[in-house]
Amino acid sequence: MKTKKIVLALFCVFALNSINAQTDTIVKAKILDDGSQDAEKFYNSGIANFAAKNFKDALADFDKAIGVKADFEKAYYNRGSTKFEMKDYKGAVADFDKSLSLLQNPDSYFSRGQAKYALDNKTGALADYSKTIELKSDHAQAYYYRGGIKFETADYKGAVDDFTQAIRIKPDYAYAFNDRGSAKRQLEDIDGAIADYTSALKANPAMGFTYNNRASAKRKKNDFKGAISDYTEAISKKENYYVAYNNRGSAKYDAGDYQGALEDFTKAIQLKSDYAFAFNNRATAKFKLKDYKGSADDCTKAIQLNANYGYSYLNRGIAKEMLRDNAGACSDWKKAIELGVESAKNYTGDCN
Amino acid sequence: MKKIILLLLVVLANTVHSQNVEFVKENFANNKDKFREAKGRLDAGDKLFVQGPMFYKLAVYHYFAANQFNPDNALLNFKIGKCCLYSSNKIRSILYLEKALKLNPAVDPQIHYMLGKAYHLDLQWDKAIEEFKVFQKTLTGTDAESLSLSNDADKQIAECLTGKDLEKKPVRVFIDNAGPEVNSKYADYGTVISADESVMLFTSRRDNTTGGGVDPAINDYFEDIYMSTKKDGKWTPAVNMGPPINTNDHESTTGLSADGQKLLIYIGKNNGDLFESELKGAVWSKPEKMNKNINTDYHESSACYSPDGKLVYFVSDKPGGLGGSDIYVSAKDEKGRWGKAVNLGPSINTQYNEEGVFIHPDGKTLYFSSRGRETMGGYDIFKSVFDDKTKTWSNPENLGYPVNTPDDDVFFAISASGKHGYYSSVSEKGLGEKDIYMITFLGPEKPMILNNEDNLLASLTAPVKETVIAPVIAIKEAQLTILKGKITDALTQQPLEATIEIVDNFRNEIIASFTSNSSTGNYLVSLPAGKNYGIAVKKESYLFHSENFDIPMTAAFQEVVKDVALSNVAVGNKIILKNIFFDFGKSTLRPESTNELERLTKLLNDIPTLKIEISGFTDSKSSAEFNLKLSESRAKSVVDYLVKANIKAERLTFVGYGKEQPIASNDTDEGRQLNRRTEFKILSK
Repeated sequence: MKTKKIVLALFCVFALNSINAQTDTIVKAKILDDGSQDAEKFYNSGIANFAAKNFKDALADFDKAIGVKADFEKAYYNRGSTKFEMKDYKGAVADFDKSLSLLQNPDSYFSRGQAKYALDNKTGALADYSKTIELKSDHAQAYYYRGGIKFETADYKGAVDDFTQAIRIKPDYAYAFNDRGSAKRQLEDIDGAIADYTSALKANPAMGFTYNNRASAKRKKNDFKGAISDYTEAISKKENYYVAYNNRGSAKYDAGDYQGALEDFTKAIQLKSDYAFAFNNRATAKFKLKDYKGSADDCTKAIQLNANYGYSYLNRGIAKEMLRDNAGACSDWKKAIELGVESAKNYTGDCN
Repeated sequence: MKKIILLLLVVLANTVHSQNVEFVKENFANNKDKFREAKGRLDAGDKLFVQGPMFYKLAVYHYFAANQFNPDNALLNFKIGKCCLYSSNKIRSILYLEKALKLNPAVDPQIHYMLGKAYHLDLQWDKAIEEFKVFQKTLTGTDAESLSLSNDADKQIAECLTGKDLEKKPVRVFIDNAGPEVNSKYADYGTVISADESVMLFTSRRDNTTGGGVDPAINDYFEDIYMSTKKDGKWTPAVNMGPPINTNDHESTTGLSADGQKLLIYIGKNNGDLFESELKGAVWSKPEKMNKNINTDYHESSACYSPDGKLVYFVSDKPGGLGGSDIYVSAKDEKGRWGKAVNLGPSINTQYNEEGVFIHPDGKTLYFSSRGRETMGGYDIFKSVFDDKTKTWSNPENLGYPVNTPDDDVFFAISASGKHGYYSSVSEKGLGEKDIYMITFLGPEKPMILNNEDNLLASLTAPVKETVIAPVIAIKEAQLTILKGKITDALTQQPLEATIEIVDNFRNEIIASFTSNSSTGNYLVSLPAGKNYGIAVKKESYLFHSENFDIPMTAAFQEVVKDVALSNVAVGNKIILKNIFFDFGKSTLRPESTNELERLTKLLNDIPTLKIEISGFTDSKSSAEFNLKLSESRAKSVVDYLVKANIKAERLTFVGYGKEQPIASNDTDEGRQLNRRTEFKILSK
């Protein structure tokens, strides 16, 4: 019986490398296994279950471990990680709180930051990532995720700084290059964005989404040919990449290839039948191809998928104008204004 | 071997087919009767052909019959081509001219020019240019005629290049036939419209022309003027306006005042002169020839009134201009006579002809046709805007394709809103000959918005939506207000013929004066943006009615309907003096009140027994005490003004009602503005 337990613990040592739980705990478990460490045994069993994605069992194990040893800091940490996997983010935060009350571990802050982020508490997450960095200044991931939050809260400059730190610590950090490129793009530094996306692809050429992002940056520079080529690469790297089809359609539209655009939007719709953007965009291509009825119908479809799709109301109004349905056009433009599309105000001058 | 023979036969057949076949009996020995008949038709056509382009329409009827018998005669094909080119089937000429050229390249020295012209009209720019260039090579002489022809070909080439350019960036319009109520199988053209598009007058050569005559000079019915009105958004069947507007001779429309009450007519006598007629009640007055400042011994053709009726723009080819026919302007003097005409100068006129002048109801945008500017062929329609500050006309702008075409585009009228234009054109889909069409201007392309998203953050699986800012569109709207309505007697509700005075309140100047129609009471005035207007509706033995319109420079086009019921001068009747203004929170009369005060003074002078009460009202802001005091002191200011203007003080009383007797809600800005007012009431007469 004793032997079995040891085997299990050893197994955990090898199995753990690939999961989020802390590897050093296992070393302890191994060393401290003198046959009387029940808490540690439950704890190790929890790790094994966690590795096998048996989260429910893992949770029960960590509960038992804590039941035996109320100040088992690592058990709290691992139970927090398990709850995180089980999407019980509040429970996770409580466990990380407890873990931190027992030990100021940068990883605990980092993980709590992740849980808070999942709870949409971006401020709390940001503070936890900052604390992680304070305790461990070369924590590349903390910089990276903090940069992500800054990006999401439109602090693009702050985001660039954090991504830069992450790259400094980890020079082949492909994700950080991608995200810094995106932040630069938001700052209208399109050349800088393209350079970062290129570095990201050098670090990891398999990232289809980065090809997509670089393509969109090129599209912003009116390099439609370059954009189309990158979108095509994105599509080849990532299966069923409907976003890139929709985007390539837009680049073709910009380049005046309305038929090509139409085909790409149709492909995006085939891949994702509820993709409102692609319906809306296909309406623009059909309009250019003078298929005004088809254009209005596609807008209707987009509106059916998203009742608050202001731009699609705007577009349908434009199509209806060409169908000589002035009343319908006016009604759509007014609805677009209601939904916040200011430019529709330019068109309602003649409406009753 | 058999195959070779067959091939030879085919080649031979083709050669035979493309050979010129003369109209001589030897060529038709086997079909003498039919030859005789066809030759007869050819001769009949020739007799008409030599009489000139007016007879081409008839000539071609015979030529077609002859051509059916012998389709391979180069000269006949050429003549058919020429007839088509210079009548209404212009594009059809290509078929015959191409064949004539193929049958005999030397059929006529003009063939390349005509083919160039036909291609030009068919928007085949490159082929047209090529033909004009070939034509130029045939002009080997150095005489004046050759030079002139070569210059003309140069102009045609330039027009083709302009056309090619304009066709690439077409104006977004809908073009609709005005419909069978307006158009007929005869030529319908020369549309003029009232500013609100409620009345359309046009010229037509129909078989019900007054007198029923055909003008032998043009081999067509005499022109008459027809009218259609809009009811429930549709044009009513056009009616011949009859006498005294129409006579046995030619009458054609050229201009209509914004309110549709005054008509400018072109009559062909004396080389072409301009006449005026006015709608009195339901009857149009006998057209009166305009004075010698307008009409000369030369050709005065089109004309239009400025919206205030004080200017007339017209076209004349009298000497002293810039060349050909030019656009002139004449102003009405205080006695209502048209003054000396002034040439609009090189900003508008060119060495070539200008024609078809039309001033928009905004009073500053001039539409006209020109042969001398960058046109895509013949006359094109241009517009130019007068800058009141610099007193200059802007560089004329081509209205673009498809408003303009390679053919002549003349006589264009545009609605006050600027949304609709009316013109005439020949189309195979039309009702016959020229038809009237309505253009709906759609303005610059309304860009559709595309939406995209990217996987911007590698750590997130959800794509991030791209922020889209829809572009701002330049709004090109006519900036004016059309004020229209009906003036009636408040008691009987019968229509009244009253005077409508438009006053620029800041300049204290009567800008224009109009009269409502006696039988309908209808009136219409055009108020260009950028002024504070006082409107006074007056009629003898009635109390005047005043309105105020403050129209900022940035105001968009609007049509305001304001029916006015005038009250008799009777005890107890009262009116609101809408053009009396005070300084904010004070009782000092502002200078822009002068005109209204003068009107009030005149009323008191006209009826010396009249005793009135002037009352002041405020909104409900501020304290009751303050409001009462302010309203009273404001009423007193008006009385003081009248006393200074020699109205006896015992005829006048003043009272302040403060916030009492509101006429609108005090909860809104608009309501409060209406409540702040000065009224007068008749106490005895």
